[in-house]
Amino acid sequence: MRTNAEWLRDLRASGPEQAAAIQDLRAYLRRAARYTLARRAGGSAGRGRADVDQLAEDCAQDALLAILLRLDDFRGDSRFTTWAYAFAVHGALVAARREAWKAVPLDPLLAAGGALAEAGVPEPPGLDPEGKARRAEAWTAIRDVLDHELTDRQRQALSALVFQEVPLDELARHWGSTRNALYKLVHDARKRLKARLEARGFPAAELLQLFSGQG
Amino acid sequence: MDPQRLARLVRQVSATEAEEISCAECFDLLAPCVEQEVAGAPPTERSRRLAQHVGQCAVCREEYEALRELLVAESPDDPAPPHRGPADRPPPPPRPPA
Repeated sequence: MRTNAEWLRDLRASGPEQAAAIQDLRAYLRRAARYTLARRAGGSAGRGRADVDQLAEDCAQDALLAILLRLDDFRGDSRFTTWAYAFAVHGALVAARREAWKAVPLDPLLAAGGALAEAGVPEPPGLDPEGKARRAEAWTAIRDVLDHELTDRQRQALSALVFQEVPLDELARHWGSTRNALYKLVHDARKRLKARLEARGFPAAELLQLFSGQG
Repeated sequence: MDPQRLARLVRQVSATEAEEISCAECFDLLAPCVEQEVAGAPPTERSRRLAQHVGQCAVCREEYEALRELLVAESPDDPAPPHRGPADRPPPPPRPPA
């Protein structure tokens, strides 16, 4: 087994040393991609074994290229193979999600989610009258903040990600954005929600207790 | 509204912090943090920040869980696959979803 230093040395070399290292690394990446795709049965639904193997091969190749471009980024705070696995896992899951969502038109989903907080929320059994009243007040506050204190983009993103369970990278791709930018958009929305609800007398701990039985 | 989805929103809002790492920063932390977790090392500030992010980000959480399972499934003395032998061993069977 190569040490981290040996992996870096061999991958940066030329000739047979580099070729052997690339071949070995590709085998690790193929294994990680296959494992990830097999684990995510939904992403591979309807695909035959040969197709999954080909997808794993493609993901491994993409991961290999990304790793070779980013060798200088490896900090040595893990095994090199674990760091490399992360690239293969990432690529396989991106591919699997794209496969699972490619036939799902997102615009109708985004349009349907525009009215984020319509209707009501079923009451859990056994709630006393005071609890019911407090929960109803909190629900009104949540609806009000969602409907009136977020930007349209924030509301759409929250609806898509939290309520419709659209994968973040798929939504980012649909909007021509990036994963990081979309995460920041949603983070800003969550911060605003949290602050506004607290300002209305609903701290996080109480909301957890009222709506998720925690806290 | 589906109560489970509302509960998810409430949990995520409640766990929101003023500063959160990005998906790119989370990716950079995956390898060292997952290795340390699998080895049973105590949590650190960076593992806490990673945990906070994957609690908010479903796609990063999926990658974190897959990498952790992959490392757990690997034998500690698993040798590097020979480049002249079989391409690699079949992957371990996937664990059933939680």
